[in-house]
Parts: sequence; structure tokens; C-alpha cells
Amino acid sequence: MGKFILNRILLIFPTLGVISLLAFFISINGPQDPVEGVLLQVIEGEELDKINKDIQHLLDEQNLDKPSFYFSILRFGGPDSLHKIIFRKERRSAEKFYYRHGHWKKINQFRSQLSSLRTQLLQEGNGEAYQILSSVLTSPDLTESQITKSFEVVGADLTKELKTEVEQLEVLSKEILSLKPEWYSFFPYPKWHGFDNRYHIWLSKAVRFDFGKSQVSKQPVTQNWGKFISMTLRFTLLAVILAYLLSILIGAWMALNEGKIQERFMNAVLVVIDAMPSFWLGTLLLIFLANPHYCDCFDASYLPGDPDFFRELASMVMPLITYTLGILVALSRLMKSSMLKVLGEDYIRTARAKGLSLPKVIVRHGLRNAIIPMLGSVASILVWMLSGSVVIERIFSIPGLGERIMIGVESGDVPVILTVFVFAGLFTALGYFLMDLLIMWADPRIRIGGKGE
Amino acid sequence: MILFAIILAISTARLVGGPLEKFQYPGHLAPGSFDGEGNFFPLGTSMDGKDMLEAILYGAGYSIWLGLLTSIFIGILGMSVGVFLGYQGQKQLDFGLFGLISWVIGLVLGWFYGFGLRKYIIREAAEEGILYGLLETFWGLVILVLLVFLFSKLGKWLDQRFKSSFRIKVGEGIIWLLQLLDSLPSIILILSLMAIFRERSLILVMSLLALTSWSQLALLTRGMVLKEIQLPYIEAAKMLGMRDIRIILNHILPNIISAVAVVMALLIGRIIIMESALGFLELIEGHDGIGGMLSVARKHSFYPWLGQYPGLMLAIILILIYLIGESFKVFGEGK
Repeated sequence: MGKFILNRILLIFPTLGVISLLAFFISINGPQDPVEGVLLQVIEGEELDKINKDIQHLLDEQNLDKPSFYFSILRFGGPDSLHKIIFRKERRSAEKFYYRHGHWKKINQFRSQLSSLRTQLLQEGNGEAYQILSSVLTSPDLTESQITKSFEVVGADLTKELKTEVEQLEVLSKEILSLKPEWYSFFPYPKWHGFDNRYHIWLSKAVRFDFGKSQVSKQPVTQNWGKFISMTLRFTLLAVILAYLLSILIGAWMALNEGKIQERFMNAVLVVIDAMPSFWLGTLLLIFLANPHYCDCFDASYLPGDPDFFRELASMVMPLITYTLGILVALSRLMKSSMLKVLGEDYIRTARAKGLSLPKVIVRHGLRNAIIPMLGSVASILVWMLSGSVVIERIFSIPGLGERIMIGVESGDVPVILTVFVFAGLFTALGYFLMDLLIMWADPRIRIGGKGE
Repeated sequence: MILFAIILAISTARLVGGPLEKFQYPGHLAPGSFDGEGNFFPLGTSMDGKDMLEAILYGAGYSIWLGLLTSIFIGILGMSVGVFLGYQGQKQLDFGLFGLISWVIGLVLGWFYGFGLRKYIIREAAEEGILYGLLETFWGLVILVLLVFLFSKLGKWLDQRFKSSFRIKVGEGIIWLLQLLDSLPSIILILSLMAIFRERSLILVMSLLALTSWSQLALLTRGMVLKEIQLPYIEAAKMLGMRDIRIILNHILPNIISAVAVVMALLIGRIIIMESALGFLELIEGHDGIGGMLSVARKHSFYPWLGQYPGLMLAIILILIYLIGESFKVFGEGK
């Protein structure tokens, strides 16, 4: 038994590993480049020192200049420190240049010369030339004539020293544009970056529940997080308990009345409930039960911490109905089929033959054995609830995890989204672990056999 | 057949007629009323002044066709992966030391030639349109799978030449990954993946839906194929020297297709629900489906017909799909 539990605990870690990889992949590929916002200040005429300071701050906070993973698969003879170019547009442009023309050394020389010239011009107060040169650095699709033209524009009113530099760059650019990639660059070259990478740093912070700062409010993402989680768990657990109790009753009743007219009627009712997705059910409840025109029975939204306790309780009714009906059908069908199976078993017949009364047999032997398969679906039910919470919390304005991720999606706040994602993954893994424990507790064959499955 | 006809009728009733006409009186007309010009609105008008009946039929057609298209895509992807994994069997994807090394080399090469070198082709295609990007990604995936397959064959051969006691179960790992993908809460996964993209187009949402829900079908198909290949007639066919592809197409597929059809019917229903839920959350731009109509209804509970009838239509569609699935089940058992 101990081995079984240990096995299940160990299985949580690879699960979390995959989830963290996915979350990290999303976090570095967000649509907004954090550096771009800072660099835009150059055009607005901000002081260079302040911009450098801001960029340094970003680097310290997000480690943008480090490789993103433990290793990467590069091209032979190609760039191996592209991650040092922190501005995404420039990095992609350089990469694309290399992809078209090969010869990374020449491109790198061109790039470093160009950017040093660019800074020099900016310090002299020539903002226009800075922008033109920047556009050469960030747009990979310029043709030869376009590049030549921009160099001409820049070089038109410069001192002689700088002019020769510009001309050198022009010659270099023409040379690069005429090149083709080397033959050996079409072979892969795996490179090990070591532990000083972004994923490692992100993971070691995430283990301590530090997911960085929200892009919108600039506060740590996990602030007040306990409240959101407890809000979601409150409804989820209550609804799970309610749905299990109801579905055990309904399922057992249907199994006992198999084939009769009332069972068929119940089946049809279940089909209809099944065809009511939670967003429609919630909207209907809102329209008819929280509307002064029909029945103003309940509050339209959940009121957490309302001074009147019964009012808070009443405002929980509609969300709970929505949650419960969402999972009731699947659970009832499951209960019915497992109860039918159990009723056909030998031990039920034996118990009946022994002279036990029917209700006693059903409660003592039937229900107990029929519930075991039901426990096997606890985890997937919990996961369904997490998914459903996004919609239901939106309808009834419950400030939980689902509402949180929606706010994140609407404002494009990647850290918030990812925190919810990681928590959802954590709950999933824990849910499946819990389910295994429950089954083990309920099924002596596993408890004693110790093999699992 | 009747069910199919009803679904087809609902789905095409208004979709062929072009965009919806907007009338003068927005949102105030109750079901069964006339406007001043003699137009009759049996289900009232929507908030932006469309005839509700027309709008519902349009949205229903929209939802059904999207669900169908996505499910076809998921079906192809999930079934091919499932049949592959099932036919390979449990033991075929166990590797010894050399096999593992060869497999990893295949993975690295596949990644490099499928995605590393083709990064810009994919990115440029994605800028042109998400569909082109997906197509290029798909070709990258094909290259990856082919190379991994070739190298794993090589690894098998090497393992047979040089025996080693070391055994690693790559196949089980793949199945574990699929189960993990299947077990994550789907809407939260989709919302998180949406964070990568700036756009909120329909095609993006549909492809994310497909991406997050094919694993279940793959696992189910794999289970069915595993059960099927244990039967003696497959062994007989192998003895006769039939080629693998012929065994799969002529013997395994016809036997599992009715069970797959039941799963597919459920899948279509689920996809329609998910798509409507995402529309309800207003995450799809330019969405005319039923989900979007319900999200309007939530904000205007003053006019109940905005919420009643679109949802009713959705429920009818879902019940029809459920009944189709049931009839597939009966058909499969009858055989």
C-alpha cells in the first residue's frame, strides 16, 4: 500500500514539470515585448541614462538576456548567443538575415557597427538618423536599394569621419546581401547552456509561488490569491458533494426501476438537462429568478462577506444549481450503470437468498459497491468544474480563479493567466492523486493487493 | 436519417441567405409583434435590430458547421495517432540503450529540420493568415514524425544487434502525455494558449479547440485498436503476409468505425458547447454564433426572449446530436 501511495506521489512531479514547461513557453511568447515599450521612449525624447536604467531593471527582473532553456539546437557555424539581443524585433531580424544569407560573423560585425553608430548619432542629438538606422536593424525584408537609400539619407549631413563609417557599412551590407548560407549551416548543432537560464530561474521562483508582477497593476500576481482560490473551491466542493448525493439517489432509483415508465421519463429529463450548457442555464436563472419582472427571489451576483449571512447563503443558490446540474447527468448515468452491474452480481443474489430484505441488501451491499466506480470520476469532475468556473463565475460575478483568468485575458496580462493555469494544473494533479487515495480506501482489492490499477 | 435531415435543415436554413438584415426597431419588439412597416417578428428582435428567428437559425448553422469542421479535423488527427499507437502495440515502443540514443537523435534532427530551419517559413505564413501558419506547422510536424520514425526503426535494429538489459518505455511516456493533455481543464488551457496571440479570430479559437481535444479520441482509438489486434484473424492476416497498411484499412478500421462514430458524435456536441462558451465569454471576434447572442442576453435581462430562444435552439441541436450518437450505438450493437 505504501508503495502504491509513493508511486502516485512521484507521478505528480512529472505532471507539474510538463505544466511548468507549457506555462513557461506561453510566458516567453507573449504578444508584447517588454523591451519595446522602454525603447519607444527614445523616440519620445527621453534621456538615454534613464532608458538604460529601465532596461537594466527589466533585465534584472526578467533575465531577458539569458538563454531560455537548458539547451538549444542551433545551426552549425550559426549564432550561439542570440539571446543577448534583448529587443525581440532586432533579434528576429538578425536571425532572419542569417537565415537568408548565412555568414553570421559578417552580420554580427555589421550589426554591432551599426548600433554603435546609432548610439553615437543619438548622443549628438540626431534623432532622425537614429530612427532610420534602427529601422535598418529591425526590418529584415529591406531590399538592397532601400538599405542604400537609408544610408545615403543618414550620411548626407554628417562629418567626414562618420561619413566614411557609413560608407563602410554600406559596402558591408552589399556584401552580405550577395551572400548565400554556407553548406554546413544546414546541420544541427546542439548546445548546452547550463543552469543559468530563464526556465531554471522561472521554475525556482514558481516553486516558491512567485510568479512575477502583474503587467497591469504592477503588484505581485499572487497577492490575495488565497481569497480567489477559496472562492472557487467553496462552490466547487459544495456542488460536488451535492451532485454526488443527488446522483447516487437518482442513479440507484433508475437502476431499481430499469425498463419502467418512470425510468424512461427520468432518462429523458437527464437528456434535456444534459443539453443545457451552463452558460444558458445560468442566463436563464438570471433572467427568471433575479429579475424584478418575474421573480426577484435571488441576488443577481454572489455577495461574499455580506453582513446578512442568510442573504449571502441565498446568493449562493443560483451558482450552485448551475454547477450541480452541469455534472449531475454524467454522474447519474454512471451510478445507474454501476448499480445495474452490481445488482446482477452473485453476492446480491446470495444476500437475498439468505433472507435479507431488499432495502437492506441494496443499502448494505448494493450501494457500497456501486459507489466505487463513482469515486473514480472525482478527479475528472473537479477538472470539469474548474473549466466550468470560468463561465459560471462570469455569469454570477464570483471573484474566483475563473473570473481572474478572464480578467487576465481581457487585459492581456500574461502573468495572471499563467498563475491561474499553474494552479489549475496543480489542482488537476492533486485531484487525480486524491482520487487514487479514495479508490484505494474504498476498494480493498487495491488496499490489500498493493498493485494498483 | 430523419435526425440528419433535421440537423441539415437547421444548419443550412439561414446560412445560405447571406448576411442578416437589420430592421429599424432595435431590441424592443417582443415575440409575435409587428413593426410599423408590416414586418412580422415571431420571436421578436435582437438588441441590434435583427429578426430573432433569422438570427437564431443563422447562429445555429454557424455553430453546427464549425463544430463539424473542427471535429473532422480532430477525427483525422486523433484517429491516425490512435491507430498508430495502437498498432505499434505496447512493446514496440520500448527501447534499449542504442534504441533510445537513436530515438533522441531522431527527435533532435526532426525538430531541427521540421521547425528550426523552417522557423521563418512558418512565421511568415502565420503572418499571412493563421491557417497558412497551421499548414506549415503541420508540414514541420510531418517531417519531425517521419525522422523520429526512421530513427526509431534504426534503433530497433541496433537493439537487436547489440543486446542490453536497459529498457525504457517511450510508448508509455507518449500515452502518459496524451492522458495529461486530456486531463487538464480545457477552457483554462485554451485561454492560456490564447495569451500568446494578439488576435482573437475564429480560426485561431477553432484550432486551439482542436489542439486541446484530440488526445481523448486518440486514446480511445488506441484502446480499440489494441483490443482488435489481439484477435486471431489479424494474426492470420499477418501470417498470410498482408502489409500493415492493408490490415489497418481493410480489417481494423471497419471494425472500430462504428464505435468511433459514437465518440465523434459526442465530440461534436462538446465542441459546439465549447465554441459557444467561448463566444459567450466574448473571446471570438466577429462571432455570430449562439454563444454571442446569449452573452448579449445576460446583459439585458429586461428582454427575456433574447436568452430563451437561442439557448433553446442550442439545446435542441445538442439533443439531436445526442440522439444521433445513440442511434450509432444501436447500429453498432446490432451488427
